[in-house]
Amino acid sequence: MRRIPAVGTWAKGGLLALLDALVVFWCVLFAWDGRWAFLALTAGGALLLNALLLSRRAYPFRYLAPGLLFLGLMVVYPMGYTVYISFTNYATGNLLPKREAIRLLTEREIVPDPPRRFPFTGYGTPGSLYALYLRGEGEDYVLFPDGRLSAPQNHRLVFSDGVPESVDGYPQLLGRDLFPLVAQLQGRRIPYREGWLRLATLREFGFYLPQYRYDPAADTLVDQATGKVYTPREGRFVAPDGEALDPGWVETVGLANYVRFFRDPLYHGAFVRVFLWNVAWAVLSVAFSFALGLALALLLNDRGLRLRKVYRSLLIVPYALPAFISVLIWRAFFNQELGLFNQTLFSWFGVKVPWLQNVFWARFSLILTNVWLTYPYMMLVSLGALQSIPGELYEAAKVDGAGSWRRFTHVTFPLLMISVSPLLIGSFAFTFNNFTLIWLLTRGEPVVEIGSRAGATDILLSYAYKLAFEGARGNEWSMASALAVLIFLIVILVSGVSFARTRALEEVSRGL
Amino acid sequence: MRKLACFVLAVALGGGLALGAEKGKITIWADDTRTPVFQAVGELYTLATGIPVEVVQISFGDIRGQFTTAAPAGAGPDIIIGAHDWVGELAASGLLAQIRLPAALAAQFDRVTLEAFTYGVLYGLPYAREGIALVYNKKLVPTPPKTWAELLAMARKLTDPTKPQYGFVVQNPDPYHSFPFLSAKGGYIFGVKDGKLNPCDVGLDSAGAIAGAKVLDALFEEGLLPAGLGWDTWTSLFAQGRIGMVITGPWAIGIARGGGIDVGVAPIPTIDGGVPKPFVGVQGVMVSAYSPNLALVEDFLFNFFATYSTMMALYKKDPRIPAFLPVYDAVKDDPILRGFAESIANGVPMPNIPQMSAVWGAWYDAMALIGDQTKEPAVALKEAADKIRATLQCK
Repeated sequence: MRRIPAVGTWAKGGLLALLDALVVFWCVLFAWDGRWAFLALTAGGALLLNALLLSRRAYPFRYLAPGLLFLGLMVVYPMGYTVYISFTNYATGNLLPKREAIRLLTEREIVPDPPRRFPFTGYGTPGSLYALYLRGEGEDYVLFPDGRLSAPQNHRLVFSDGVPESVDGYPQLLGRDLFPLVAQLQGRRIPYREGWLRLATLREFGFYLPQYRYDPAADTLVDQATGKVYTPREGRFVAPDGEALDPGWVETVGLANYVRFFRDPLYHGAFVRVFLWNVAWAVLSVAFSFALGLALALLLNDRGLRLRKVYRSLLIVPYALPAFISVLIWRAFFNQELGLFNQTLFSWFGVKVPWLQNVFWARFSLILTNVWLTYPYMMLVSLGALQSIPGELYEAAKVDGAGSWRRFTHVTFPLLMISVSPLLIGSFAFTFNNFTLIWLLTRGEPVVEIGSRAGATDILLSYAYKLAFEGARGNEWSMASALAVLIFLIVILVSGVSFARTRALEEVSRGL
Repeated sequence: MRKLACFVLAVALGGGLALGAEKGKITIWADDTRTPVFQAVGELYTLATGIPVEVVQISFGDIRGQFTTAAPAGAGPDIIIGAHDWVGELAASGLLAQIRLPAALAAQFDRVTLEAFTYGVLYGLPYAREGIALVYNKKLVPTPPKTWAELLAMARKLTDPTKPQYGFVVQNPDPYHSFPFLSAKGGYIFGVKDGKLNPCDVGLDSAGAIAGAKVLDALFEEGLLPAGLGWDTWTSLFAQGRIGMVITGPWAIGIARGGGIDVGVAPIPTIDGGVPKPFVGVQGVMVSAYSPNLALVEDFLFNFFATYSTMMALYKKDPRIPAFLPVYDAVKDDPILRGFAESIANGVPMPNIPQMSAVWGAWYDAMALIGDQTKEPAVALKEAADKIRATLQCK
C-alpha cells in the first residue's frame, strides 16, 4: 500500500535538508581552515542524525540518541578527559604542546646594544600598500609588504627634506591611511644580518637578535648569548646547571602522578584521616536524615493526624530552598560572636559554643545542616514507600498479636528498605562527594595540622581541590585528576558493595 | 576565513566564547568597571590611527581562567586587565609577552608597582595599587597610635567583649593581614637573589617573622582579640561602631560609611621600632604572548594608556591609589587615599611567583593554630616553613 506523506513528514524532511545544507557549508569552512577534527565530528554527527531519522530500523534509537549524546558529552567525555589528564604533567608552566613552547622560546628576542631602529614612511594608494622606505642612518631600504628588502638605488625615488615623496611613482601615505595597512605587517620577521627586522611601533622597524636557537636533530635549545645548551627533561628545557626555562610543555608521564600520591606523604599523609571522616560524614548524614524523614513520614501517614497537608507542605520547605542560600544562612547562625545560636545560648545560659572553630562542633554543625537540608527528601521517599505496603500485612500482624513497635520492626521497616535502600545508597554517594556544602559552610576548617591542606571537615573531594590549587608551582591539574580518579574508584567500590547487599534484600522480598 | 570558521564554531557549539584577537585590531578584555574607560580610549585611538579597538567585558574573577584556556587556542585577546600576582603563573605558562617600557615612561610609574609586574622581565603596566593600613573609628580613637605600645594601651581601654566592643582587631587566620606583623621585624616570604625572588629561600620561620607573630599571638593571649574573627563578624561590628581600630584595606571604607562611621586611615604603628610592611597589590594590563598585534599594542599602551587623561579616567571610575605618579600627585589630598598610600609606601609587592601557591595554605594553617593558642608562633611557623620547603623540593 502506498502512503501519501503527511504535512509533518514534509516539514521534517525540509528541516533535515536545511540542516544538512548548513552542515555542508560548515564542513567547507572547516576544510578551508584545516580543522579536520571538527570536520569529522560535524560530518559524522550529521550522518548519524540522518541515519537515525531516515532509517526504519534505527527507529527506537531516535528516542535513545539524545540521552546517549548527553551521557557521552557530559559524563563519558569529562571522565575520559580526567583519566587522560591524570597520565600527563598538565600544570602551571606545562600547558602548551611542545612545538608551541619551542616556537615561543625561539621567538624570544634580544635588543642588540646599541639598539637599531629604522623609522619608516609608507607609499601606495589608499587601501593598498606598495612599499615602505626604511631610514637606517646611511643604510636605507625599500621594504615590500611580502618581506622583500631592496636597495634604494633600484627604485625611482623623489626626495624632499631627506624623505622620499614617492617611491616608483606611488605617493606617500599618511596617518589613518597608512597605519591599518602597516598593522598587517605585524608578526612578519624580515631576515637581517644574524637576526631579523620587525615592526616595533607604528612608525619604526627594529632590529632584533634571537635569544635561543632550536636544533631539531639533537632536540636541544642553545642560548645565543651564552652558548648554554638546554636539553629536554620532565617537560621543560633544562641546562646542565639545573636552570629550567619557561614555558614547558605537556607530555604523558605514565603513572607518575599515582606513584607520587603513594610516595609523597604530602599527598597521602592526611588521606586516611580525611577518608575516615568522609565515610563517617556520609553515613551519619544519611542515617540521621533518614531517621528523621522516616519518623515524620510515619506521623504524616497516620490518617488520624489533623492538618496533615499543612505540615507536609511546611516540612518540604528546606528542600525547596536553594542550598546555596540556606547554607550561607546557617553559616551566619553558627557565627561565634553574632550568630543566632550563640546569642540565644549566651543570653539564656551564658555560654558560647565554638560552632565552626572546634573540631567536634564543626562536624556537628555540618551534619546538623545537612540533615536539615535532606530530611524532606527522605520523608517524601518514605511516604511513597509506606503507601505501597499492603494493608493486609498489618492486619495479619495484628491477628498474630504484634504490638505497634513489632509491627514497625518486622513489617514496615524491612519492606520499606527494599524500595528505599537503593535511594539511600544514592544519597550516600552524593553526600560522600558533597563539595558544595562543605565548601560553603566550613571550607574544610578548622585547621588541625599545618601544611597538610586537610582540615578537620575536609572530604576527599575538597582535599583534592585544595591539593590541586596549592601545588608547588601554581595549579596541578594532572595531580588533581589523579586524585579524582582515585576518589572515583573508592566511591565505585563502596557503592558496588552496598548494591550487592541490597540485592540480598530484594531476595527477601521475592520470598514474600 | 579563520575568524569566520571560529564564529561558525562558536555558534555551532552554542558557546559564549569571546572572540579572540585578529591582526590589525586591538582586542581588550576588561571588567565592568574599566570597560567604559578602555572603550573611550579605544575610540580616540581609532580616530588617530584608523585601527579599531574592541573591548570585551568579562568579570574580573574570570579573566585569568578564560585567558589561560583561550590564549593558546588563538581565541584570546591582545590585552587583559588583571592583578600583578597572576604574572608568575601566566608567564611561566608562556602566555605573556614582555613589555619594553621606555625609561622616560617608566619614571612616571611608582617603582614598587613596576617591580610587582616584573617576573624576570616586565610583563605588565600598572594603573592602581592597594594595600592595608590602620583604619580607625574617629569617635573611639581621636588620634591614631604611632607605636605598638600606644596601640595596646588604647586597645586595652576600649576592649570589652561583653558589650561587645573591641579596641583593635585584625582578621585572623589570614596570611595577607598577618604579613605586616611578620615583616615589621624583618620577616619575609621569599628571599631575593640576583634581583629575583628566590623560591628556595623561605623566610616564614625567620627570626623576624617569629618575633612579629609573637606580637599578634600576645593579642590573643591577653584576650584583646577573639580567635577565628572572620570577615562577617568584624565588618558588622565595625559598621556598628564597636571596633576602634582595624588593619584592613580600602574595601572596608564603604562598609564603615554604610554604618555612618567616620573613619581615618593611618600607617600601621611601628612594632618596637620596626616598620610593618604590608603586601602591595597592583592592578594593571598585561599583553598576550599570542597577540598578533604586538606593535599596535605597544603603541596603544605607551601613547594612549600610560597618559594622564586615561589614568585619571581609570581613577575616577574606581578611586584606588594611582600607580601613575602624575595622577597620584593630583589626587593625593584625599586623606583616606593618602593614609593608604603612606601605609603601602612601606610595603612590598605580594610575591608574584607561582610558587606562592605552596605558601598560602601552610601559612594560613600556622596562623590559625597560633590564633586559637594551640601552637606557639615559633613552632607553628617552623612547621609551616618546613612543609613549604618540602613542597617546593629545593635541594
